[in-house]
Amino acid sequence: MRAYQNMVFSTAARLTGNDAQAQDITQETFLKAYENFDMLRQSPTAGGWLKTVVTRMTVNYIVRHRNRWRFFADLRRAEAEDDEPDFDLPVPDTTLADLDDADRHERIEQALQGLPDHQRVPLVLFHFEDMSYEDIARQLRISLPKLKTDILRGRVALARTLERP
Amino acid sequence: MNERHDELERLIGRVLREQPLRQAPPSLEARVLGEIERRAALPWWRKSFAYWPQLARVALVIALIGVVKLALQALVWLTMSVRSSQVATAIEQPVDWIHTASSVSRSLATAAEALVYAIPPQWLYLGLLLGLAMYVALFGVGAAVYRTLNK
Repeated sequence: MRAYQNMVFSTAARLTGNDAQAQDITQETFLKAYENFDMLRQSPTAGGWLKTVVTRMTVNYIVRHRNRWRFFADLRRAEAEDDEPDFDLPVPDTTLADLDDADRHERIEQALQGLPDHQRVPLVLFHFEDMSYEDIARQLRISLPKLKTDILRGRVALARTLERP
Repeated sequence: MNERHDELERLIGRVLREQPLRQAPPSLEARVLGEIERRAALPWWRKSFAYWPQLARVALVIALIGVVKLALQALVWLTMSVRSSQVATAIEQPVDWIHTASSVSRSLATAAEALVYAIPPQWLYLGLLLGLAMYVALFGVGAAVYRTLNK
């Protein structure tokens, strides 16, 4: 468990943007692993199995939770956003270069957590979990154009946050 | 524009890939082990069916088959009983009551229809508009509360 707990917790925390929920999901993932202990004990792909399970459990949790509030959330989003975000490419190669590694990493995690769910979740699935746009759209049950717009908005919002001194 | 999008994608991808894993809380391991122990301490009948002893599983399946058979027999018995005149007489009374209730509701509907025709149409339109306005107002209040709570 010690070998994988940071990986499992990171995946859940980055997707949910909430540490308490991430701990619950991490616990459920390890309980599931315990149930399959005989199969995983000698398996060289135990890490991949855990990664798949925690990603699926977290996405299921998010989709289930989202459905309860979808109507109002869509209403708010429709009001707040246009079709295509305008942006001046804001992040130079030296992003946050004046900060030390720990501060920079902390700043990026916070910026990621600050994104709204509909931007953060696809962004994390794309950049951390290496999922394709098509797979993400299918798992989150949203259209491909909307997914691409959400990811683009997420990147722009993240870049703007990182640009601030 | 696409070039700029690609550049942004590469930039954000690089920044995120450089992120180290987050540290799991120190209490997590104890929490998971505690939950495993708690579940292990549960008696077998409170665990999921897959963890029941073989004998108990077979016994449950036999018992369920018995229950289904009994239910089917009870259904057959009830069907036969309904056909007998004694039961039919017993059922007639509630049926009479339903007939009376239905004729009363028909009369009420006729009276309501007459009343609606007697009301000037302007009043009806006004009432509809008022209802609609109240619905929209409540909807707006709901949306405002949602936004306030989810800021």
